[in-house]
Amino acid sequence: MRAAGAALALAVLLAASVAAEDAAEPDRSVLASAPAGGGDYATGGMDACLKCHDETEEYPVLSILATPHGVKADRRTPLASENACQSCHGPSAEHVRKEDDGEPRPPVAISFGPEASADVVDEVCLGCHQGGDRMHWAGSPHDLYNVACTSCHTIHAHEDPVLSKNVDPMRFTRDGQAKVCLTCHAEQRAQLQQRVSSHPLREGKLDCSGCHAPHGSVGPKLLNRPTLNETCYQCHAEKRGPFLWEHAPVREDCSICHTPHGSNHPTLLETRVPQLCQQCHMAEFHPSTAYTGPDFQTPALDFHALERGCLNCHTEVHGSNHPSGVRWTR
Amino acid sequence: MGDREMPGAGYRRCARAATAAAWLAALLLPLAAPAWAQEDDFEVEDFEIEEAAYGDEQRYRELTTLASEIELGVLYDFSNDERFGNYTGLLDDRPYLLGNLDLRQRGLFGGGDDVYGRLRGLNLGLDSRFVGAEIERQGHYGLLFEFDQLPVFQSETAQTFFLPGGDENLVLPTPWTPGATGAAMTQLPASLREIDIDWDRLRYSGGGFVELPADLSFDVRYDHEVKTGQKLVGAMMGISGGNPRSLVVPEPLDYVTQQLDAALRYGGEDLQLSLGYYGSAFNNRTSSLTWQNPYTAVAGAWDPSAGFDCGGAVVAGCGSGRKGVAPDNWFHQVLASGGYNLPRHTRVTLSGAFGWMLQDENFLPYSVNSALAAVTQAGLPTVGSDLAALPRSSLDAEIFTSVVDFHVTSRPVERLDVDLGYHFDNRDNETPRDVYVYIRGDAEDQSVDGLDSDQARINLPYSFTQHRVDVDAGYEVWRRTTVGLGYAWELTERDFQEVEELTEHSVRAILRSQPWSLLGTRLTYAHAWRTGDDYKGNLPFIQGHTAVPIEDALQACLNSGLVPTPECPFENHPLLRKSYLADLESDEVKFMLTLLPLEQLSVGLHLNWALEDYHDSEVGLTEASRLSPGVDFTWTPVERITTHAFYSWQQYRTEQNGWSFQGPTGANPNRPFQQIQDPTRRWSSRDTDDTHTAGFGFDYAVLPDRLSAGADYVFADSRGDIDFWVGSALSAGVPYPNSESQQHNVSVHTEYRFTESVSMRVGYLFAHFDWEDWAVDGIGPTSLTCGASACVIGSGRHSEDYVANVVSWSLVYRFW
Repeated sequence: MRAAGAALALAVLLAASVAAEDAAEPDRSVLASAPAGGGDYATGGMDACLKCHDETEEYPVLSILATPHGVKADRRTPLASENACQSCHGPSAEHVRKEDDGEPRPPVAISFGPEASADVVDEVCLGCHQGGDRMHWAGSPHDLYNVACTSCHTIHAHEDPVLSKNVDPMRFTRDGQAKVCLTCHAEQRAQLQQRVSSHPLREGKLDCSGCHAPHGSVGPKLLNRPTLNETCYQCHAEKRGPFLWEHAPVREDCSICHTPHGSNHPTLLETRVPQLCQQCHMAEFHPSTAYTGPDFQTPALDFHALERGCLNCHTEVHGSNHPSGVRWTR
Repeated sequence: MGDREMPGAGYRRCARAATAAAWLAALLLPLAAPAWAQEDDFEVEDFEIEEAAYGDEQRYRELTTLASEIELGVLYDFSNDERFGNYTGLLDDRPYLLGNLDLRQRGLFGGGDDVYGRLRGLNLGLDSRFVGAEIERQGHYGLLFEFDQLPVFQSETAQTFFLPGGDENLVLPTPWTPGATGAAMTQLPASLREIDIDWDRLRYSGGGFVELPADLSFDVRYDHEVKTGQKLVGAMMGISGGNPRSLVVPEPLDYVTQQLDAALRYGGEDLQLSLGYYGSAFNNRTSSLTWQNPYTAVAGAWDPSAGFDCGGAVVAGCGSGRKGVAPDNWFHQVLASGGYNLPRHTRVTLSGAFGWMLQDENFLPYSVNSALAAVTQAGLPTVGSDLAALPRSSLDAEIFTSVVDFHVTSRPVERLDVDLGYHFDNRDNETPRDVYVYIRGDAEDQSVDGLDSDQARINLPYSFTQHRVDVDAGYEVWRRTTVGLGYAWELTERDFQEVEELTEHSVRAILRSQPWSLLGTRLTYAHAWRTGDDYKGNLPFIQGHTAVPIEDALQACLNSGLVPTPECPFENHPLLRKSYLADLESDEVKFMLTLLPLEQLSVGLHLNWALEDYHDSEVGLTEASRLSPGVDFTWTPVERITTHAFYSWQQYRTEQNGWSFQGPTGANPNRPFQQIQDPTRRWSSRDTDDTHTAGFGFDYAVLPDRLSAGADYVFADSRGDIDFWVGSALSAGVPYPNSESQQHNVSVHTEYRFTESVSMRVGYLFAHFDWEDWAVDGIGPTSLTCGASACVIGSGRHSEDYVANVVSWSLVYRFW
């Protein structure tokens, strides 16, 4: 608690100290109103850019006109501003003015290509999009790992893949959101191929954002509810209880027993039953017995390890509300 | 295919209605589209981009106008393996309608139109269909409606001898000869029938948003989900001396879950706020599961009427078993968040979520068998079917949840980023504690030895509080190369568990670098150490029992003179350390490298490794490790061909120790105390799961804008090994077989564009899944141990493989 208090005090002091500073530096939401790079804005609105960046461009620049960013009737959009493209790409008069003399043009003030700094890219986007689900971006794992907004989002596209729900039973490799996320999260991509048990991401019936809030969240692991269990209860509300006979690790954290992205065992279990149960239950007689493999030479196979294992009898492991359900059998 | 008794037919009709509505819209909208488009008839001059070059008007239109698409065709599934239908809906060897539609309309740029509308229908001919409609005036308001169906298919080989149609009351065939074993139940073999273990989720959603003055907005979403089907559960009649009599039976699922999520938000330039409400209500339309007991009566602790043959006593409903099901419950939560930007790239966020979980379902009586005579000791309440014997008629359970999160991120000096965070998570379980009676089955002897007996149990409403402080700093040491260091402190406090306080410290170091666009890398290392208060292994036992049985157990333990006093009494082996409460040291390394050696080639490498060392755990989980290396390639040899390939290996390994011991006997009351110290009764297990996953594919524009093709192949091979060692006092048994699964998946897809608007798609999909699971393979309903005292009648299911061949053909109409 002392450490928590000290950290909290430190945080408050830091916040207070910077609050006391004269706000002389650029605003975070600069680009619609003030030059970020110190240059001038080219005049002529979008026409100035589209003289060159027309439909012949390999990169589909014009696609933005069919996206929410291109709705001029919405005064908040970049293309509704007189700076148009420069609302995001920054004041780029030099880039526009350069004669086509064979020499390379000076770049636009802000490029969103692979060379772009995540800080700069994020600052541009957060200038308008800092509310709502992005409120917790600062300090979130993706922010700390320097993931730029454009690492995941494609702005000049009719449908941003990371926002796309794609359900195609004829494909085993997903397009849309999962494909974007799994580009970096390769371990999860492999887990999702588990067919013994997995959530229906591969079939397109669930997206990563069904559980995760990639822009930051209050919950752990960027989950979209404040706790892991509350995230699971969105689809598994029957396990929420509260129950008369609670199972302590179940109440605390589903991931003590389950691995959510795919498992080689049924019901997304981390390990086989009965071994999984015996990691915490080692009482006299059957809970502590050393169960071995099925001996098909014997007339009767031990039910403690086979079929549903421990759950052949202890079926209500997520909690029981029966007055005699103390052992989760009823 | 087995029989199915599945409620929810009304909802299925709704699903069909939603599909029909989507198709009706699909048919009408293209007809309306020309009229719709007429107002904005495509004229390049309509654009404000007056000086742009319009060399290719078609290309221009395709870029600047949303296309709508209707796809109609047929899928033919040549397989008959229902497991393939899990999540896909491709269950049977028959043709399916292939129907997808995506109708979109957004006003042309510059036209002053801010209306956006979209109607999507996906997999409309399958039980995995989705229909969604949204319409909005951007920047003003919007509405959303969705229907989503998810078929879950687990088994088509499970069997039961209970009659169909019983739902929550499983009825035996008549006549039925009860038996002590399955073999003695003479009608059992002929009565077995296959059942499908599957369920459907049908989710109906609606929502909307409205932008309000003063940078305020409000959004809301409501979900109504119905889940119907059946799952397998254990149905235990009771226990006699530690030996159970149980069955694996189907339990009907008939759940309705409603969720409401609403938030009022303020989005200022520097200040953002939100205040929200989340509510969830779960309603189980099944109240319990009751089954007639197929077994004969057992003498002793079992009531004479515990068998289906009630010993000649003709009483209705005698000898049945019953179990509870998931009770109705509610959750309400208020969420508030705020974020504020300060100078020096400083941002402060504070969030709180305060929730209330509720459950107050009426308790079931101790026995469903009203004919069972309640036998009680003098002065104790009658149990049996008399609810008055319970301390309360329902639990009145409630848990208050609180999550508070505070973060400050800042760049106090150039190149230095600092992040401080505090996180508080509290689950305060206010459920009342009472003494309940543990009666082992509905058909067992309902007598109570006394509320000071071992039968008296006190519920343990677990509470949990966690504080976490994070400090991270990153410094850019070179061109887009940052070194970061972090530290976290976490304190967890628990009620009614073996460790009251657990403290974890962790340090981490991060190197991330992308000095040039052709090279990017990230390396993180984290080390954590966790220590707790003294591990009091008997604390849950003591807090879950009344005084007398605790004292009896304590005296028996002390009298043995074999066990140190602090460890008496015990339920689990005193050396057991539950893994999530145990002292722990852990290390984790994550490495990722992205290379672009050529403009056309990208290579990605990743390696994740983690080790958890439960160094003070002599019994229980002692070590867990994960290893996951992998490689990715993307190659574009020519402009029209893109290819990709990947390989990944994952290994998850756990090591645990056990110590087998038995209870006291009349002749040897000290047997458990002797055996917990007998090292020849130890055993160890090492479980290793290895999974190799590989895949490759390509997309080829054979004739640009005319013919395209592509293919994907994915392979996955998983193998689970269990290595087992036992001490010399224990039976060596037989080794565990490997649990293996292997899959090959091929998909091929082509599209030929006849005109700008009309194209044809042809696809082929091959899926092969082979699974060997020793827990169920080769095990019939009566293969498991079954004797006069202990018996489990299983479901007889086996791990289900599939080989699927699916072809698809469709016509696509695209319009703008």
